[in-house]
Amino acid sequence: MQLHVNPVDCLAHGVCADLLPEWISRDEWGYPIVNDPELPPELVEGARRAANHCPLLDLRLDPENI
Amino acid sequence: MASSVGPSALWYLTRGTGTVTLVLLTISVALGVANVRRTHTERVPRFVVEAVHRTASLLALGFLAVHIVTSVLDPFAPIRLIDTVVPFVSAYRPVWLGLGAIASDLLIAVALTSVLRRRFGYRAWRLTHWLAYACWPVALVHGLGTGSDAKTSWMLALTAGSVLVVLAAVGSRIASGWPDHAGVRFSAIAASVFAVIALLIWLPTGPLSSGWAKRAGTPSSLLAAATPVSATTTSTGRSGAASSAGGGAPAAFGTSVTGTVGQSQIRHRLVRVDLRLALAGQPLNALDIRIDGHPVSGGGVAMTSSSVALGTPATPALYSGRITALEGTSIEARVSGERGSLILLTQLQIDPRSGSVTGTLNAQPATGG
Repeated sequence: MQLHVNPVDCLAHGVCADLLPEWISRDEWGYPIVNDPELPPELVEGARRAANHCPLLDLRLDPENI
Repeated sequence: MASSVGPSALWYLTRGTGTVTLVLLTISVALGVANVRRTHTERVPRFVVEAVHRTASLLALGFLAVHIVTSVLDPFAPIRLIDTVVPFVSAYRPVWLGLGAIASDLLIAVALTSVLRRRFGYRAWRLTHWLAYACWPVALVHGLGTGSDAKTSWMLALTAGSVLVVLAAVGSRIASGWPDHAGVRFSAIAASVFAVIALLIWLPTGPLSSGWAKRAGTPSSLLAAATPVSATTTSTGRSGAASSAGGGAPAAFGTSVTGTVGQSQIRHRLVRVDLRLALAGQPLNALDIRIDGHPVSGGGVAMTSSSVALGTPATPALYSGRITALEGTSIEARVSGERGSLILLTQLQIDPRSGSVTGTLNAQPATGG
């Protein structure tokens, strides 16, 4: 699974970093930094939750081969 | 004797779940409004605020479902399923029940688009989510307008508390980031102030004033016809219009009545209740009351039209007119004849098994047009 942030629309709410601190950190302005788009399988469930809770729907979880 | 069964458990459930729904909606709206400005602390991170907002909304939806189903199932008020979806078509308090239907439609729209927001896309979800701002006040006014507990001090306190909580959330939202989009902020302030003033003006003249139930559109109706249950159908805690039988006017008289009640189906969902009553010891000794209306589950009818005739067996319609107020089996009617008009106040007891009726009647000459 691949994890992407849409950097254009993101407004740095920070929900994703709160919910998936293992893989997402925040820069000095609060914008998310994804550790590596390639997501380890054990984090997929948490990433899905983070994506669902993003207020702007800017965190996307995609299958690898698209 | 029409047995006076009080409001059923279902009716209390309707009221209780309505109240809880309002509280949950208030929590949801307040958090939703406040969350926009990213309220969070170290101990309450933002996703917690968001999760509580989400959970409160879904819970509200659940309680709303119970609120709607019990209000329809309960025979206490004649509410059909369609009345809970389509506003302003109910026989029972059309306006105030209609607001509830609107609020529930809005909430369902908001919740559906939220659950499926990935599918709808952010923009569509965002736009429909603005409907929540309409849903909450409409729901609040619905509760004040038709809530059986609206006049109680605890419910008033709860309502006032809800308003204050949402106002506080809106206030903090308006304050944060000031003065960007000043026009929008001033509009929001103006709308809030206007809404509060309107509420404060409406309350004393509306739900808190006496006789509100009747003006709100509780059908002056619901006569216990064939079953004992509905004799209390409209006794939602309001004083009956037919309770004060003053005396002393010249041609006034009071007497006991006996008679029979019959019910027939005249069309689909339209029944006719005929009361044929004999008045003891009076020259005018025959009273016929006819009530047409929709049958109410549990018995009784929601009146749509009526006719009343007072006379003698030979000339039954010396006076004729119609019912002016009807609560349970208290009937107030106005009839007119060549010699003037009379106000008839009738209190009946109906035996549903035998169809026999006993009761009292007071007649007073009507003054004025």
